[in-house]
Amino acid sequence: MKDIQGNTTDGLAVSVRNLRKSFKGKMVLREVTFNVREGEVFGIIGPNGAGKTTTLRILSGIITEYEGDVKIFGLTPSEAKLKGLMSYMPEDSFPYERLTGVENLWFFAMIYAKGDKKLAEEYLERGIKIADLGDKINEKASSYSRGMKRRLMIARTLMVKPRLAILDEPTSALDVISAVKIRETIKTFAKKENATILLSSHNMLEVDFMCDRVALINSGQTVIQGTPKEIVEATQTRNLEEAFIKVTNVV
Amino acid sequence: MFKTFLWKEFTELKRDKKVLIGSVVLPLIIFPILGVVVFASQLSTPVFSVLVLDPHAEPYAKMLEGVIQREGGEVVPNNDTAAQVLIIFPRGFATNVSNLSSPVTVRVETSVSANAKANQILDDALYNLTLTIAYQRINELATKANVTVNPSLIWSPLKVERGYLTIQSKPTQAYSALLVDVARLIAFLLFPGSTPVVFYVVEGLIGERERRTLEALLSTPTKVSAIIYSKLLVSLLIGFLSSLGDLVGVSLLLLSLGLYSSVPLAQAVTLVAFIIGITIGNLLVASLLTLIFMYVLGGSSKSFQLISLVVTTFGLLASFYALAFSPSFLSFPETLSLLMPFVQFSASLMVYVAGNPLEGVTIFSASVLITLLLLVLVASRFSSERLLLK
Repeated sequence: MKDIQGNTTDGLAVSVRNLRKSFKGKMVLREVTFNVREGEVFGIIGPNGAGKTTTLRILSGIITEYEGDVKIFGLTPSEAKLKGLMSYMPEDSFPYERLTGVENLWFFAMIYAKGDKKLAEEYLERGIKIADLGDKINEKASSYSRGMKRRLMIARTLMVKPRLAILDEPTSALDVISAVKIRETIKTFAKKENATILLSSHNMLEVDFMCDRVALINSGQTVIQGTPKEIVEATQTRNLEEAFIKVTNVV
Repeated sequence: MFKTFLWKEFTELKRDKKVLIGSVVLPLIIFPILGVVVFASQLSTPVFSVLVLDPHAEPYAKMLEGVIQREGGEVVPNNDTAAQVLIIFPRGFATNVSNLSSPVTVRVETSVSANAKANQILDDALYNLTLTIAYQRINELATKANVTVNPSLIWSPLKVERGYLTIQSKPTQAYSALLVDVARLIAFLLFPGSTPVVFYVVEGLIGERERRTLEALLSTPTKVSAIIYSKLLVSLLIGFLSSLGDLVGVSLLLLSLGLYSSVPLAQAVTLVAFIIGITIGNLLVASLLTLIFMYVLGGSSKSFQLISLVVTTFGLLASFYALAFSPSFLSFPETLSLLMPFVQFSASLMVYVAGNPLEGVTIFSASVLITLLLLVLVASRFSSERLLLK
């Protein structure tokens, strides 16, 4: 497997080695290491403050100063971001309230299409399908429920058919039905487009349901990684939730 | 890419009625209303009343009333409460006119609500009365002394020949002095029009962060500087729209000077263009200062208040500096004042109208160029991490 520059990537979409990051002298990431293979759904789990969001912000090219080696399809995150290889949905991100759903999608479609209207229209069409908001898509986002806003944001992220989609807590603070719909959307997209998905979550059932492999981060360090089954076996617990509690020692 | 950003910003703005009304529509309504009110107050006719207690003073009273009416005042009977100024000719007035060793007294009672125009008419009327009395006394003296005199050469013996020089010591017309005064006033008033841009720049970036839309935007295949430039461009456009009320007023004033005074119309039109340039320059400086302080202080809502305060303070300093600024002393160390934000543009305007257009245009162009370069430099210093987290 080769990256777009022709370098071999060994089938890796994401490679993170010895990632470290501090804010104002406080170490937030001490030693984060994991790999995400192309086409898999990979989950990052960990308690609050473990460093999940910081890791995803580095991967998405938003935080550019860090120590360690991070590669997205063989490129630095900033390069991958500018080439539009990935798409990121931050935790608690919202659409522009004064724009309609269509306008929100169109704005991002035009940015990713770099002004190519035909390509942007293709993105938009896909986005409308993924959002699945019916006629509401033509109304201002301020009239949407939280679940609808999140679906719009998921659609914004996936409509550009990214090779890597990074989703930070895609279903947090959503009601059960909205969360189920979003999980289905992500799973369907990953399968249909053979895209790589990297997501973070607090919900162990969600991770178990969606992810092929998982990395558990605690206090800025990767503690364990593998398939949910491997992690359960390695920790000698009954499920991922118990494994999480045992490894993080939060109870 | 810019087109997409501008489309998004203007679509949002169009639907943000509070900002639209507060920043664009209100200034467009308020400034003309303010102008009309000020103009109307100047147009209102001052009302005078003349009370004559000495029957022999009637001719003087008639002369005085004539002057008042000629100059646009209204004379009403002395029991009319509408009178703003009451002029009383006391008993013995006429006798005292002929008594060369005694002053002639008139009493003037002015309402505190009388406007400047009323006071001006009063001064002119009293000056005419003084001349009339002086003329009579000089004639009387001449008769007694049996000499021939020209009374006007007695009361006004000094002949002044006036001339005007530019700051380059070249002869110019009286209108140049008028233009310098007008430019000073305009330079004093222009800065407030550029303050809304501070709000738009800060709101554009901090607002996105607080509404949790910034992070998704920063993750797109766009450079941070492109996001900042688009925000700046939109802020400048809205800021310019906010200043339109000011600009229309100033333009009308200058064009009316061109049409109804000795100021050549071509000069007035050029000055209007120069002032539009200065308004844009002020907007650029306000944006630059905002961006610099955002970089230093970070993008929290607390920083917003501090940034507004600092930028406004610089602007006010420049406004008052314009009142004291003398374009003829633009040499070292006075030139150091040009380093103060906003001052460059006030100075360029003053130098321009004071008779050195080349230097005025040079200061203006250099200031715009340096401001743009600094804007590019500061914008390039922002990283997505700083914009999102600091």
